[in-house]
Amino acid sequence: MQETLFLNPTIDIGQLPHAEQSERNPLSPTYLKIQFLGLAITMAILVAPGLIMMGAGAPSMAYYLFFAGWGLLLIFRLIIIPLGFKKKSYSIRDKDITYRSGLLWHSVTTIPFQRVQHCEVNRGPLDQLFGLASLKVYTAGGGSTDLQVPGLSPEDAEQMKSFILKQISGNDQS
Amino acid sequence: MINHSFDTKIPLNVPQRQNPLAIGFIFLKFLRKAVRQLWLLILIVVFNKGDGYMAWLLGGVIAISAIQLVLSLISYFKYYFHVKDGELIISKGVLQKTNLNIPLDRIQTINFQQNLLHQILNVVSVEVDTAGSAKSELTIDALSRDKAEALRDYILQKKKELIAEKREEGELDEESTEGIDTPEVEEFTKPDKMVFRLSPKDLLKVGVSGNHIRTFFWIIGSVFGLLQFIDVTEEEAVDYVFKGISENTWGFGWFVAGFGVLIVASFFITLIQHILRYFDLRLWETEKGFKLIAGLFNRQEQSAAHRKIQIIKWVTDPLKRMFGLHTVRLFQASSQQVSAKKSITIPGCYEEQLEEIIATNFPSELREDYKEHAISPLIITRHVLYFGILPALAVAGFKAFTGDWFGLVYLLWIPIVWLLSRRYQRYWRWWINEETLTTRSGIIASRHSIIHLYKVQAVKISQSPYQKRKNLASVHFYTAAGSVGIPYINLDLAKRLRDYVVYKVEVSEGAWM
Repeated sequence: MQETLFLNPTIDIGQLPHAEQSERNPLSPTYLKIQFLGLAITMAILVAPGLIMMGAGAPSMAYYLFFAGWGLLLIFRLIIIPLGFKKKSYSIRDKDITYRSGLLWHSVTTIPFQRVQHCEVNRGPLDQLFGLASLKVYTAGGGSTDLQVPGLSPEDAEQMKSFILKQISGNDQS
Repeated sequence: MINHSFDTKIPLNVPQRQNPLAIGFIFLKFLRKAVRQLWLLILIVVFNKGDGYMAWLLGGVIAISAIQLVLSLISYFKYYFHVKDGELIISKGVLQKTNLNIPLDRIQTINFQQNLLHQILNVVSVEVDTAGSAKSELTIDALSRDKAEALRDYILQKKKELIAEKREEGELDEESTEGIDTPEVEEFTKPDKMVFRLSPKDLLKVGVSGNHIRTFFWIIGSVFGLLQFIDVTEEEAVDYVFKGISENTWGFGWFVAGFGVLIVASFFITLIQHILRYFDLRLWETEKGFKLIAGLFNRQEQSAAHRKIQIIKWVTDPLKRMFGLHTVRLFQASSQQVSAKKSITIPGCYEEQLEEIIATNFPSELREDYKEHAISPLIITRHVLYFGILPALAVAGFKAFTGDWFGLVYLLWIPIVWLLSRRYQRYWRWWINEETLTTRSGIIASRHSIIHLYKVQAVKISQSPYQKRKNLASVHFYTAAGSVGIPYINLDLAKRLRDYVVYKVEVSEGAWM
């Protein structure tokens, strides 16, 4: 009971390459470490108010509650991060790039190279520490469509970037 | 094309000042800015009369303003512009000198603005919009109309030559990959065909059918905002009103009268707003796109090239439907965030005018053979749960918990949400053929959007946990001027839709802007 998309299609849509049939590339496992490290840093910062409350002699009930909340958040993130990591993947085809992410709220974004404005390779402090990089692809669609693939090896990222740039200029000449 | 003599009469290649009248406009601009920023302070000082500290503060602010005023007046004498070597060069600044060189091929649009004073003095203020850089806009406060037109024609002419040169040298490819600033000429020099003109009668209809509810809440909001500055909190005000009613010191009649006054005020404020904004609105179809001029005191000129239009939306509601009117919005691509400025609003279109405007960008053959689709009824279940059951249970539960059994009346909210959601789902439609996508949504109002599939920049398919369980998904198509989304359709259909649109983009040769 497949619903047809068009009234009378002149091309067979079933024959179109599925953006998802191409190979799904997982992110580097090192990226998981970065995420955990990032979590550690955030949680360390978040614990500060609790410690201050304790030191300032606030009623014990207040900081018990605080630490309980803090602990729950930590456990939640500890479970979510590895599961969410598995959901992140990217595919590059001849003419477009697709990125998937989200454990509970899953989304799949596809950008045709024809519409790429520019792309760049970013390396944050943690990325540099662990030898990783991320690729960011910009379109004219505004911030919500800019696609960022984290957790790539710097070589892969550069290679992807030059591939995309090559594809863009290739399209232009034709 | 009208041939302006660039050389002798109006030389543009030597640095020159604006029309001296600009001093007046600079002063007015300053006044407006000062009042907008300081009215609160002035109010506070007035209501705290005799407070020495406040008076000092006000004195200080006035002193600073005076210096600013002098500086901004001097700025006129320090502001020079000219066109040279394919660049528009502006030098300005009193304390800090700035030189702006804007390559002509970066210039996206040149808009003229005339408020009432401009009209009387026969000058225009010129807005030059460039893409890319953060400082994308520059304004020349006053130029005589002749000179402004000469400047615009000159820039467009030069730009055209530049692009022709580049095309010959084959530099264009590299350039166009760089971004939105694809050097393309835009000409709005020849307004040839008037597509639409808002007659006074229709303007009245537009005003009458405006959004009075919004104005109503806007008035209430402003009243509360004002109360804060005379040291009355919202609770006190509400208390005062309700005490007045319950203790019958005012009488219920007064309350009703007050409410009536508010409604009448909302009606007239909306009406006046619309008349100010859309007075004598004219829409021209030019060689390359649209040009719109409207406004009573402040006549605004906006333009949009066909190529740059990404989405056309049209809206109507029961009130407007009574008059047979639609409001049309044209959304243009811009490198900056999509701002209201980049969309052109044409209120008060009748069916056939609406069709004519849509057809300029989406000829009717691109809207034929549409296959109609609906969205999944499961969206009702979700909406009822999130917007109906959960909030109603929370409020009613809390009320019941505090012993107020009357609070159970809040549960009536659930069937209301159910009815609205059902209407929402039943009214939602999307139509697709191989070139375009049209969507229709709304509960009370009716909203349509149409896009060219090949102008899509990115496609996103998203699924909530619930959608995943039901094998549903929402699809969003992002264009360079906003997005169009379809909620709750079959995942497989969503994927095929995505695949087709991506395919369409990848084989398209047409410029998306």
